[in-house]
Amino acid sequence: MTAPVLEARGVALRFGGVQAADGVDVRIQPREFFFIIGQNGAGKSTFLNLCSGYLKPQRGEILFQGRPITGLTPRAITRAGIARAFQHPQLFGQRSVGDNVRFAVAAHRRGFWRPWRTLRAPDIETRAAALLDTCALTRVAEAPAGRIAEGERKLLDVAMALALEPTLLLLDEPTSGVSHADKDALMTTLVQALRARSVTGVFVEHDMEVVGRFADRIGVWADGAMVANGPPDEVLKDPSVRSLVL
Amino acid sequence: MRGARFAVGAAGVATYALVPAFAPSLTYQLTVIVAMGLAALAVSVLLRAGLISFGHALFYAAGAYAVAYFAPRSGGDMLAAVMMGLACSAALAALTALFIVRYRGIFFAMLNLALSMVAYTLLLKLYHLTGGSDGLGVTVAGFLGWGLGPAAQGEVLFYLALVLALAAAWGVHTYLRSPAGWALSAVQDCELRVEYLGISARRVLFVAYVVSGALAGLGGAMAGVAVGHIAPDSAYWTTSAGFLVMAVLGGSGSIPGAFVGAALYEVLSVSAAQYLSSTWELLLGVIIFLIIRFAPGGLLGLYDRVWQGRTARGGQP
Amino acid sequence: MGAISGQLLSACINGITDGATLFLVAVGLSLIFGVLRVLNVAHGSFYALGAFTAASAWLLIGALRLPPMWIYPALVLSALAVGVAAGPLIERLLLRWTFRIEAASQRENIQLLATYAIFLMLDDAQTLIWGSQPYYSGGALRLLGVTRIQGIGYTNYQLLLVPVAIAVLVGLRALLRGTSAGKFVLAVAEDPEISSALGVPVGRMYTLAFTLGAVLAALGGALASPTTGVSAGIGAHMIVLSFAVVATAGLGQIEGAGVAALAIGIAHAVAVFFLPDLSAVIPYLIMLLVLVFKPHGLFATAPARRI
Repeated sequence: MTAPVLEARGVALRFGGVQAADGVDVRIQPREFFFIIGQNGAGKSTFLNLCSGYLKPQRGEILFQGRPITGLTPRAITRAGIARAFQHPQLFGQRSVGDNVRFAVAAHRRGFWRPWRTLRAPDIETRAAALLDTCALTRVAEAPAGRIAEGERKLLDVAMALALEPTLLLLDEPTSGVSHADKDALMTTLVQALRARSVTGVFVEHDMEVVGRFADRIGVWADGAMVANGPPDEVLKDPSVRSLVL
Repeated sequence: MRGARFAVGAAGVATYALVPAFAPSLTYQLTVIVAMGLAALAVSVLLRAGLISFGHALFYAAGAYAVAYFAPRSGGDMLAAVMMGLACSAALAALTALFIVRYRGIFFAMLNLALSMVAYTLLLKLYHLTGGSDGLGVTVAGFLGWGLGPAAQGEVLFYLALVLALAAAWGVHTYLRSPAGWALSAVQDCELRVEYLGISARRVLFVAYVVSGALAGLGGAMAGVAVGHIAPDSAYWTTSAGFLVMAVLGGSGSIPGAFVGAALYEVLSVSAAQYLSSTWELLLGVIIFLIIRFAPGGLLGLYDRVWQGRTARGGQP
Repeated sequence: MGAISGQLLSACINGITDGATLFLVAVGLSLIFGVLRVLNVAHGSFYALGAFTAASAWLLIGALRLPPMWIYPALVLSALAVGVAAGPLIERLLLRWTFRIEAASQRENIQLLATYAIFLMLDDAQTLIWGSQPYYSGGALRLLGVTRIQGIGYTNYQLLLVPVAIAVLVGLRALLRGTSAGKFVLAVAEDPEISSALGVPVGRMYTLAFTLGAVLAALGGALASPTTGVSAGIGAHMIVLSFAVVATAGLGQIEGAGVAALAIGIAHAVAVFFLPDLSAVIPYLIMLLVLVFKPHGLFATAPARRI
C-alpha cells in the first residue's frame, strides 16, 4: 500500500449549529479518481473546503504527502500542490479565456513580480496554449471568460488549476449546470487532462452515471462523515448506500 | 489602429511641449496640469483594482511639504527636492499600505479619507512645523548645479515635469502589462481565484498602493515648486475628490486619460472662475454626472467609440 | 468637586449634546446605506441646507415680527421642507439609474461619484441662494433659558437636543417596525429581490428611505444651527464626520450609529478641553482604531461567503 497523497484524520468542524464535519477519516491514493457522493448538506463541499484551507478544522488533522497542512491558508496550500476547481467557476470574467490561463501559468512560474515580464512571454504562451488545447478551449481563447458556455467555464476553471501543475486537484460538482449531452465530453476531457499529468482527482459529484463511469473509488458522505468507501461496483450496488444517497 | 492612436498622442505631447515657446505666460498652468495629471494617474492605478481612494491628497500634500522642507536644506536644487518629495510620499504610502490593503470597497475609500483628514488637521494645527493655515513657501535655487532665476525656473520645471511625467507614464504602462499589474483587475474581478492561484492579493495591492502614492507625491512636489507655496488645503478631501474626477473625466484606467482629465478639469476651473465664478461646482457636478451616466469611459472612451464607429463604417484605421 | 472633574463633566455634557445632532445625521446616512446600499456623499449637503433654511427661518420670523418661539416648529419644518423637496427628486432623477449596474464594485464606485456630483451641485445651489457669508441664528438658543450644572451654565436648548434625538430614534423605530410602509422599507433593506417578488414597491421604498435619511440630516443641521452658526464649509465638514461615525459603527447599523455618534461626540468634546489643537483629529482616529480591530465596524458582522 503506497503512502496516501491526502489523508484526513478525525477532522471535525461545527458551525451555524451544524456538525459540518464529524470525525472524517479518509485516505486518498496517488493518481486515483476519488468521487465523493452523498445528500445535500452531508458535508461534501465542507470537506473540500477544509482540504483547501477555506475552512479550518476544530479537531483532527489533514496531511498532504505526509506533511500536515491543517490550518494553512489557501495560498500556502495551493503552493504546496493542491489546486481547486469550484462549483461556481471562479474566473476573471472581464478578461479573455486565453488571458485567464496565461495569468494562471504566470502565477506558477518564476518572475511573477518582475515588472518587465508580460503575459505574452514565450514560456507562458507555450504552456498556456498547451493547456487550452488539453481542455478543448482553443476555439474560445479570445472570448471573454464571462460569456462562454457553462461547460467551457468549468473547463477553464480546471485549466487554471492545472496551470499550477498540482499533485492533487479538488473538483466541486464539475458537471453541475452542464447539459446532460455535454457531461460526458466534459468529464472525458477532464479525466484525460488529469491522467496525462498524473494528477490525483477528488470529485464531489451528484450525477450517478458520471460517478459510475469515471470513479476509481467512491466515498459516501452522510452527516459530516464518510460512512462507506470502496470501488464503484461495490458501493453503488450496496442497498444501504442507495437509500442514503438516492 | 494602435499606431494611429500613438501618433495622435505623440503629436499631442509634442504640441504641448512647444506651447511655452509661443505663450510663455501659460507655462505655469501647463506645469500644474502635468503635476495634477500625475495625481490623477495615481488614482487611476488603484481604480484598476476597483479601489477608490478619497484621500490621495495625503500623498500629494506629503510630496509638496517634503519639497518645502528639504529644498532650503539641500542647496535648493530642483531635481533633488522633487526626488525627495517622491521618496517621502513613497515611504508614507508603503507605511499606509501595510494595513490599508486589508480593506476593499467603501471601507478602503473611507480609510483613505480618514487618513487624509487626520493629515489635514495636523498640517493645520502644528503651526511651528508646517506653518499652519499659512502654509510654507517653496523656493528652489537651481537645477543640477546651474543657478536659475525665477523665469528660467518656470521653464526648466515645465520640461522637467514633462520628462518625469512621460517616464512615469511609460513606467505605469509597463507595470500594468506585467503579471503584477494585470493582477490588479484580477483582484477586483475574482479575489478568491487570485488567492487560489497562490498569489497574495494584499501583496498585489501593496505594490499598487506604493506606486500610486509615489506618483501622487511626485505630482504634489512639482506642483509645490510651480506654485511656490503649499498650504493644508492641498490635503483636504475635496482635493482628493478632484483627482478622482480628473481620472474619471479622462477615462478611468487609461494612462493618457489621467492627463487629459487633468487638462480638462483645469481649463474648466479657470474659465469658470473667469466667467461663471459662482457656479463652477455646479458645472463640474453636472459634467461628472453626464460623464458617468452617458460616457462611463470618460473622454478617451468617447474618442475610442467615435474612432471605432469610423472604422466600422469602412474607414482605414 | 475638583476643577478637572468639573471640566470633564462639562466636556461630557457638551459631547452628548453635540453627539445628539451628529447622531441624527449618522442615522440618516446609515438608513440610506442600509436600504439603498449607497454611501451618500451628498449627505452633508442636506445637513447644510437644513441649517441654512433654519437660519433663514429665524431671519424671517424676525422680519415678520412673529413670536420668537415660532422658531422651534420652524426648525422642524425647515428640515422637512429640505428633505421632501430634495430627497425624492435626487433619488429618482440622479440615483435610480445606478441600481441597474450589475457588478457590485463598479456600481458602488459609480454611486460614490454620482453622490459626489450631487454634493457639488447642492453646494453651489446653497451658495447661489444664501451667498458665502455666515449666518447667525443664535437667538433661538437663549429663548428657553439656562440651567446651571456644577456651576457651569448650559442653555436649555442645548440640553433638550438629547431628549429630542432620543424621541426621533424612538419615532423612527416605531415608524419602521409599526407601519406597513416601514416594514416594507426594512424588507427592502433585507433583500430587495425577494421583496420585489413579494410585491413590495421597491422603487417607492427607495425614495421613502432616501427622503427619510435626507430629512434626518437636515434636521440635524437645523437643530444644530443655533449652536454652531451657519457658514459655507459645514456641509463638506459634516460629510467626513458622519462617514467616520457610520464606518465606526458599521455600515447599515442604524442604532449602532447612535452609539458611535455619542462616543465620538464625547471623545471630541473631552479632547477639546485637554488637547484643543488636535481635537478635530479624534473622530478619524477613533474610526481608524476601530477599523483596525474590526474591519467592518463595531457592530457589523462580516458577510459569510459560500463557495
